[in-house]
Amino acid sequence: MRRERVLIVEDDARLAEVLARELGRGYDTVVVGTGRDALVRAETEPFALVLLDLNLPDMDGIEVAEQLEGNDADVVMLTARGDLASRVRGLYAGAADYLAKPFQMEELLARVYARMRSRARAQSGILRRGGLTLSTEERACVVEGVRVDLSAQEYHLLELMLENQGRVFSKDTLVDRLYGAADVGPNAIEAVVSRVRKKLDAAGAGTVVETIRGLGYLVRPDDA
Amino acid sequence: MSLRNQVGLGVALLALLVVAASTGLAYGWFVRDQAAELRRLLLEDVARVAALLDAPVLGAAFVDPSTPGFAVQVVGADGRVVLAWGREEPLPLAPDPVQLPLDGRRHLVASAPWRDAGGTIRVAHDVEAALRTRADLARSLASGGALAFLASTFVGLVVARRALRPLELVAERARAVDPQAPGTIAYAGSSREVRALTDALNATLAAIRERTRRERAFLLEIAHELGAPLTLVNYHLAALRRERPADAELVSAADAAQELLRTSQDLLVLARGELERPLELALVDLRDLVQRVAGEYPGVRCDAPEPAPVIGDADRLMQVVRNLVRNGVQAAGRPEGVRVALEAGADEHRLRVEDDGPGLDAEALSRVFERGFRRGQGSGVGLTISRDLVEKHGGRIAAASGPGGGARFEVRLPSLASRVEDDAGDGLPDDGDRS
Repeated sequence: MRRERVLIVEDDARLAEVLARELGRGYDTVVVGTGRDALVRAETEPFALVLLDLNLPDMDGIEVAEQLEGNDADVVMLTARGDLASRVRGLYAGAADYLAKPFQMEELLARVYARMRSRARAQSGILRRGGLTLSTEERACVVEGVRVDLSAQEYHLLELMLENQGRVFSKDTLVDRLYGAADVGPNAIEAVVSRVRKKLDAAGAGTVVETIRGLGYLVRPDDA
Repeated sequence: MSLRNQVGLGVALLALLVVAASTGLAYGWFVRDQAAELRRLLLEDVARVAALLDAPVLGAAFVDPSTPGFAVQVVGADGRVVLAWGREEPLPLAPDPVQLPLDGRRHLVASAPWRDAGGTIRVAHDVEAALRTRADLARSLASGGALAFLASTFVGLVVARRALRPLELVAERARAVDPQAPGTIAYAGSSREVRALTDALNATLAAIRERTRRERAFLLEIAHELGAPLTLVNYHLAALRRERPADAELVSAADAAQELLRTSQDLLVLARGELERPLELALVDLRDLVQRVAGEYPGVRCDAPEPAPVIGDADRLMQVVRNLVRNGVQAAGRPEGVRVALEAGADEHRLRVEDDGPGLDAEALSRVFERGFRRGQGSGVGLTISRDLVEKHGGRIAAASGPGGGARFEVRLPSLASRVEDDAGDGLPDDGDRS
């Protein structure tokens, strides 16, 4: 089986070497020490994941992260600044994670593996939860073998939440992801959630999208 | 006394002074003019009577006796009344006009010598009505003055209040400034003084902001400098420890390195204002966290039989659990002295971390979550961070004396079940409003 490739962007040579050694057990690694090199490599070669130190000698790590937004690779950031990480994570929504230095290697590996797993799930083109299956290529929703017709918004919501099972989505976040800059309020999200629930319930999928009081919506993973 | 009342009172006193002075002056002038006029009229009458009596033909009806309030008498040298109009009883001798009561009414009386025989002409005017007018004037001036005083006091207070309202507004906004992240105080009004005050306050706030920013930047710089070496030292020592677990010195160094790492993580949380960052909420099983932390401290006894799902920020809840366990290990002096118990409940889950260390006395129990409180070798921030994070998750944390004399920390967090809306499945609650 082809090994996934990881781009390590870290200007501390010793740390970069250790990271390459640890991640090298499961992935092919490439190490660069500057933001410019990182962008060049990420543009010309396919990577599954970029491990990005936000404190780089030649450019602002945040800028690198922003320029990587269109890239297929997931991003795990290393930074002392949680606020910046939040911003980038908002940008990628689900495809970025962050760890503060100093860290224990186990913590970093756990994060990288988790990202890789969810990536594999997303790339299989199939999202599952109980008897519900989303085929991301056909944008189709199937419950127990029967196709359920969903509007674009309804499908988008379900795909987002199935990709990120276990995560709580606030109405504001969902407005942002489903409608972008359009001027709609949280009521619109309530309406979409309500329709999705009705359709899934009618198809026999049971409760998929749960309401977390005062916080938002959740799709529980099958094992929880 | 408030500035508003001071200004109001000042205005009122000034108004009182002005009103008193002007009404006093007006009244004084009136009284003086009236007295002079009454006296002039009386003396004129005396002169006229004298002239008439001296005239060749004495007109008996030159004074109509029925004219009320007017009396004329001619008195001889012996004091007997020779002629009298308007009044029979003798009027007193008064070369200079005097005021005196006659029949209960105030009169002005004057006399003038008549002929050489030593007789006198005496005239009396009833001035009761004129003097009443004077009293009426005094009364109306007094009540008008009092009204003017009250009105100006009121206006003074209102004006002072209006003028000082911007100050109160600025004070309100100054109070609302977040000490953690001081913003600026907005003032859009036209008062030059208030603007000067606001500008001064904002300049101070800006200086504080700048200083905080620099301190934070400095701490982050340190964090960055320490981040890589701490990670590396910890990594290599942990690897060596796995290879040579019997090497006591190595194990001690590895433990110290891990301790250093965790402490700097805590300090960094404070340095970068992490506590203010919003939680990233997800479904988290507390049992996973507890088991992972117990795994980091081999020897810690862990009793977590059931899953305990909550809605929370996994990284931060992990930090809470880790801080409590670490605190216990430090207090007990060894991981074997720490017991972690997780009890899953319907509405809330309870996590207890007990140690068999020296325990906490009443004073320590009351201060254990304060920043800078040290228990053993701890950094003094771990428990503070834990409390903040637990409370951000809608939970509670408490410290008590444990059964074995050590300390017991208990965290209660709302369960997932308590946060899921029961009727989530049927889609009705979201539709109800719009049908």
